[in-house]
Amino acid sequence: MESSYWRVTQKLPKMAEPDEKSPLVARRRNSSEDDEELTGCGASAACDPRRTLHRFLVLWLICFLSFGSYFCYDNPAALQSQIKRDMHVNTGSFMTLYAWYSWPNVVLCFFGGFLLDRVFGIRLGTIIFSLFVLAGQCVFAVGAQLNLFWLMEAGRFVFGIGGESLAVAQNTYAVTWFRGKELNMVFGLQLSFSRVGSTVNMNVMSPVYQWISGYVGEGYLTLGYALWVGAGTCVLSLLCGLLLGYYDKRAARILKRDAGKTGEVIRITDVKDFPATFWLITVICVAYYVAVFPFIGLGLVFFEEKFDLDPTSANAVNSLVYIISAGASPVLGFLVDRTGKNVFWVILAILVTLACHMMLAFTFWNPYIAMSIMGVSYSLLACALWPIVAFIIPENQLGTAYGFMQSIQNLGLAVISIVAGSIVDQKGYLLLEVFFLAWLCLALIAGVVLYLVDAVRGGALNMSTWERDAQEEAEEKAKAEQDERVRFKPRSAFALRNRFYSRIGAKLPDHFDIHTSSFFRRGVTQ
Amino acid sequence: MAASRQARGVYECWPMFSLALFVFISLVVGNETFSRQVSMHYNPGCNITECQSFPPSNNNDTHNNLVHVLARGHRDSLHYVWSTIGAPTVLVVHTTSKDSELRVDWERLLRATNRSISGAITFEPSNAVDFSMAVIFNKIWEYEDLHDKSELPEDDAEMFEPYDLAKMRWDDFNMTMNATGLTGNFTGATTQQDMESLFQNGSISFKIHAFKTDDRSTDLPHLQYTSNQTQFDFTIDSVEPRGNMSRYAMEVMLITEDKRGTHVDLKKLQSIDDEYTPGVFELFELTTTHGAQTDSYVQWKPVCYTKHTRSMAVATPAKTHKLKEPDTASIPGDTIARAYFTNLDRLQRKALNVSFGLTGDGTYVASNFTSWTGDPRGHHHVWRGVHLLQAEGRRKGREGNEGRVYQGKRK
Repeated sequence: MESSYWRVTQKLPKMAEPDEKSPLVARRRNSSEDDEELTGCGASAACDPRRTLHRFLVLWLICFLSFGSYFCYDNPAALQSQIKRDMHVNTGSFMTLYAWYSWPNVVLCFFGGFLLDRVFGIRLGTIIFSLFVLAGQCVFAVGAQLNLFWLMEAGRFVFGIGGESLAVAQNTYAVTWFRGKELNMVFGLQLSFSRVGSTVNMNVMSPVYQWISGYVGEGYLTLGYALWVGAGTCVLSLLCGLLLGYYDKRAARILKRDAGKTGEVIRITDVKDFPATFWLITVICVAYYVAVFPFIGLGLVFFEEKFDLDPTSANAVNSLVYIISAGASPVLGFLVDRTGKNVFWVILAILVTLACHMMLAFTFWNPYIAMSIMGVSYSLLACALWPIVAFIIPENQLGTAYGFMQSIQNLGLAVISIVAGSIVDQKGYLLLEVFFLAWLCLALIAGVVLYLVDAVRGGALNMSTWERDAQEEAEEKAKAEQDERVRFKPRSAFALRNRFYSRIGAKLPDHFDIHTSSFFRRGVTQ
Repeated sequence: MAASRQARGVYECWPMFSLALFVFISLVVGNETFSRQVSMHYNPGCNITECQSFPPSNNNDTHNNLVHVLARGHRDSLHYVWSTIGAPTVLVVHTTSKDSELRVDWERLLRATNRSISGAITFEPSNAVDFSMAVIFNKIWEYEDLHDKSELPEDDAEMFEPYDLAKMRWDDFNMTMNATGLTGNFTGATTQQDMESLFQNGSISFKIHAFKTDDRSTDLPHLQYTSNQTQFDFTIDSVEPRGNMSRYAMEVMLITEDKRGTHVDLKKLQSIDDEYTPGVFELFELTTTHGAQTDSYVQWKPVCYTKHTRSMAVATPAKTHKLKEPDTASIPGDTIARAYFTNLDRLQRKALNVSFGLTGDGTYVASNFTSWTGDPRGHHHVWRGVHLLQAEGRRKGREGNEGRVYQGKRK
């Protein structure tokens, strides 16, 4: 009988675990025994997903993922006069190039986000949306080359299907990789990259057109060729999407991200169960953004007329918000990362913007002041607000949540832009400013309510980073303690009996296998 | 965030160039808040052939239009005499008598030679005249704005030959006059050599409007009016521009008796409130102070419109240039101001230019594109719609009563 015990133990490989000689409390933390061995580059900091450096390399991919779509989005603006001349269209038709992008996205990016969660998954979804962006831009360029304006419009529509949903995917990627780390800064960086994309486009497309027209002469053919440059940037973004998919899959394997997944699948009706805090954030998002962007859209004449600026300076003032946000948002994101207290920053940003609008509305102070401050507060809001969603929505619903928010925001911006335009036409800029002030007040109210609702629930959203770390540490500790307790759990009567049988050399029950028993002890199968 | 791009609209340049100029000539008389009895008369008391309404033996003859707008109060009366006999001119006279009358010596006014028209227009009783001034619309400048800077050239030689408004053929005002609505149009075309063809389909017109009540006009720029005032719209319609990048400007001259304590100032009033004229935050006033009691002013908003249907979308700025002091000789030889003011050397004279359009409004470039692609009519419409509004009569402290906020920044 003795032999049977030995027989059993001898069969065991040199694994740890077989008997009471190995420590009962496994060193699960820090243990790398189930982790994949990384070799070659994979072992270096640049390729190891556990290391910060790798995360930041992935960040570049995330940023360039949307570069193409931002670049191409403003292609029409950069080539406005050329498009109008070469395609023989008036300004109204020209504007449809933007309408064909914007209006469908009032709905599309919600479904985009949902499909991302439900059907494609983030990796495949990103690639699909990148392909849509690329295809849209190609159709756009072909339309120009064939001198078919309707085909260009169709191209913009296809481009729109991909564009906004790609932004949703980008947000989701950012959360996957940077949640609990540098998330605010990453959102800030994404914002500056969108600005960089537009700016590069504005400065590059016209010279490119000039250059090509040197060979081909002015005309729709030249326009087509120039737009293929835009398609090139979409290819770049597609490559980023592919690389991201690869690295994300690899990281998921190495970091065992899937281990924590519940396997739950989002249903479209889950949207109605989103918590109240999510809806408040959506309200802030709409109410704040409509007070900034439609204003900028109408700002040029305001600055020229009210502040006696010449058109060049008026344009400079008007684009200050964009320029400042490109530079300030990563820095402010970093600040929010360091301090936490997202809700506080959001409320502060709304208050400051409110003050800026009041300055513009009720004083003749140099508008550079108000617009600069507004640029900073806008950046602050953008990088503090969007990451909050990641705190309150489970990961498997994030795409839907971001998509939903962007849909509502698109709707708000589209409608309010029209309303704002007619307010200016009928009642002038003072009333327009009052209108925007009202929206900001709504955002402020939503912000305060968000703070209160959150405070009642323990203040998770407005924790400082220090508190958040402390809380996480405490949770970890509690969990570890619980784990310990589990591991010190007395052995079951069954185990004790079998152990005793082993000792005395009695025959073990047929169904008993010492391998399995070790799992019982570790609580893995329980 | 992604949605931010939504708002990055494309700045739209309007294919038409637009100009609007709003001018008030105002008289501040006492503090009464009553409405005056306002009436409008065409060529009052004229029975000579030259001023009959329907004698145009020859269609190319100009009509001798003289319109008298009389606003009687309880203790005083205001006379506005608009005329296109000579350069378009409005004579503003305030009398301390409520029964004062306009007297026109038509024979002298229309038949006198050698500019001896002096004294052809008088007011009875003459000792009741408290104050008088005249506003003369002298010239329309046209210049090539090659660099799209909307700056009026310093040197007149850099501009095209100006349209001399004294050398115009004017249509019959009586045909358009509405004596109950107190409106009417002076419409004319130039008779200057080599320039007539530019007016083939075009015209220059002044629409005048007097009021019985106090309110705001229903048209943009919604200037406020009272029964003390008359307003005018100045329009250049479909006049062919002589340059590819033509811009226009108008010279306005103000003359008034040089009495003790009389001074003329150009003021720019700024307000944060553009409710009535969206996008316009300024109001210009050419104010004449006549002692303690009376002020008069010409007031305008620096905006003009490129289409007959006015809206903010077709608005473009009008730029007001520095006030100058022209010499006596620059007063047009032909104007009813010479028929009223007998001693031209004892007058204060001020003149200023108002130019239409703003740097980079791109209108010209835009319309050039369209004309290159085969729309020869493009040019015809470029300058349609220059409006000038004028009103008269104002009381002191008016802005304060309206509760409008005026910033103290003044030129």
